[in-house]
Amino acid sequence: MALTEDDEGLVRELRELLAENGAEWIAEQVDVDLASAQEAQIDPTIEAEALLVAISRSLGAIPEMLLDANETLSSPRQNAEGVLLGENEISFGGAEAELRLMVEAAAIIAAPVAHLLRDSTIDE
Amino acid sequence: MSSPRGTTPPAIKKRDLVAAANRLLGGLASLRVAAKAGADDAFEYWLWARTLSIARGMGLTVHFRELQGGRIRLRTSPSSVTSGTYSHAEISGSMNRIELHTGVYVEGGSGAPHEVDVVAIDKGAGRSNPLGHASLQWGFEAKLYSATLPLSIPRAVLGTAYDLKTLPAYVRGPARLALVSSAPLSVTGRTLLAYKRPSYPRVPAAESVRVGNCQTVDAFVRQHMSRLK
Repeated sequence: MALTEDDEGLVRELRELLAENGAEWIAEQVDVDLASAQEAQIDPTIEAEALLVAISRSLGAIPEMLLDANETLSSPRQNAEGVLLGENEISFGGAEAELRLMVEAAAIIAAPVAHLLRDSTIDE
Repeated sequence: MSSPRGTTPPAIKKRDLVAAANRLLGGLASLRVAAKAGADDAFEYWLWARTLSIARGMGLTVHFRELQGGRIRLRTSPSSVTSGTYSHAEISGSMNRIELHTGVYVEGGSGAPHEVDVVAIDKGAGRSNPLGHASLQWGFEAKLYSATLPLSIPRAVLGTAYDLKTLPAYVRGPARLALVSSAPLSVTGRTLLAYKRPSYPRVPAAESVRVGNCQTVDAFVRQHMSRLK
């Protein structure tokens, strides 16, 4: 069953967004995975699902991680205002509202492929 | 677009998914964490902070060292513990004191340096001599992947664990190097890390990790941190 009314268009627009935002590495990892699994032409619905899963597993998790980290480190007793990842600064207070919007967006992206996002861990 | 009679039309509109992807990817790009290198840095940063959160939750004392104008500055490429001015955390309990760094080289038994993404070491280690495996308390190999981890990753981590002598066969107590990944391992990858044979030298692995699914990470840290109390 199709994911949306236009899965082919969805694939095209997701790939464009990934490229525009410097995240083409996600599409590249998906292509490697699909190439090993598909012999014939790739079905647009499968490709759309693969892209949504890939975004969810990687970048989709980052906003909540940054919020979680910032909450830990912004404690007044820690006396720190932000973090520098190399020269890239993420201020604890400044990014919070934007990160919360990104968490909501990540949830929308993950919803149609939730059944494919397995919570697996080993060595419990 | 109409659906054939009797079938359920797609519940999601393409424009909603595209708008959500635009908001997520555009937002991350503005923070410069959408590209692979930036996303990897953010993942390591979270693991580092997560460890500190657990330490505080266990009643241990956490202090930041080498802040840069009130900001924590973490490595984005591996280096020795003494190169550059980077921040680290000092975690202390009644029994011991350790440092938590990101992205430092630790020398293995062979003499080869290995980058460990998030690493706890003895306080003061690596200042007068190369940071060696004997000073390593525990560490994480962090892998932010979007698709199933290629087998080369668990193979490399197992090799690193062997040379750093973090496997349970070489140290007292639990394994000291863990693999943490945002993606799942393949069946062969799990088997290689000795999921099927607990008595065999092994590397603990946390798969498909995110904020709501990091019990294995938390348990690994608690297990080691309890030695500080």
